[in-house]
Amino acid sequence: MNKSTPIMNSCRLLVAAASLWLSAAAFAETAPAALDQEVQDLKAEVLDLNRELFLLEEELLFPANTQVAVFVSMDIGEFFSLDSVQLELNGKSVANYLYTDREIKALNRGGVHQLFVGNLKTGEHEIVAFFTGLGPQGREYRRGATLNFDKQIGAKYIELQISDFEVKQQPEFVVREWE
Amino acid sequence: MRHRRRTARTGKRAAALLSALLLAALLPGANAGSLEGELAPDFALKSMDGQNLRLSEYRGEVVLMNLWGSWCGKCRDQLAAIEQLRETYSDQNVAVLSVNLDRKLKKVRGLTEQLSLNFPILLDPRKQVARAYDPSRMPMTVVLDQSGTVRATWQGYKAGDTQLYMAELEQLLSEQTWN
Repeated sequence: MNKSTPIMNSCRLLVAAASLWLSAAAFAETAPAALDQEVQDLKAEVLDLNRELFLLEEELLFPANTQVAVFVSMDIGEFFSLDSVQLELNGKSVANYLYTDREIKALNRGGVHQLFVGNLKTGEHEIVAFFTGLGPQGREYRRGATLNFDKQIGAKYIELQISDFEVKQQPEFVVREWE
Repeated sequence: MRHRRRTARTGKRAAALLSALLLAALLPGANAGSLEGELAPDFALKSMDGQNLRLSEYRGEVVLMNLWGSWCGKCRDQLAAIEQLRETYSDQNVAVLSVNLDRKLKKVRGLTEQLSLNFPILLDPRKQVARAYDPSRMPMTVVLDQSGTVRATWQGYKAGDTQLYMAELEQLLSEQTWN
């Protein structure tokens, strides 16, 4: 049978206190790093979840069978400085977008902007885009471009392309379907 | 008997609380807080110097924004105060934006020159921003935090309000943001 003496009890207490202090010190050292890692992991999870939610929402609101999406792209843009694009679908205005300097820079670097996404039934449709901005010699410039297209079952992607027409020293606006 | 008296007292208190809440709801500027805690409605507008600006591009900065019209006397007083505020915070992470709701530019231009305003004046003749922020009194002032969330709104302007704006800005500047 073990009998604990007061000295042994004190020793045990001292050892317990020392180990408690050591573990507390170790925790204090690792805690901020662990917490930071946890926050980063949590942020990554939230971003993933947000992306999944966005995709689900897109699928729900714009099912692939009826979806039509319109994108704006720019190639060089020396003869035209874009200000805004107005979009009409079957005679109805569906988008009116004002581009900021930052967005124009992104387009010039090869970015593509989703101007509109919606639903359309199958059949013939007409899309008209009006481009406003500054043309050659810094003059105010407004041009329209039209596309008649046949919407089948499945998503339809349309690109509004702004490019330079070197021969004419003028900008060129093309509306084309993505295959 | 005692129980009945206590119930009556509680009823009176509840009625007083209810009428106070109703009164608060009916007072001018009652909808001022309706945007607070929400992500600020985004918009893009043309500024007086012809540049297109989008509110969401100011994420990462504390934003002080006001909605005003040249017909409103208090708005003029506030613009002068906001210009001083802009100067005070010019070396800090604070952006000042101003949304004008006039239909014609002439008076706005005259007023901004007279007051020597050095912050972007965004033009909203179609009242798209006004519809989104729904001011009940002019000018309306909105403060956004670095994540673009509305943190405070004020309807109307009176002497001393600038101190409230400053207190809010200081609070938001001192807040730590997670990158």
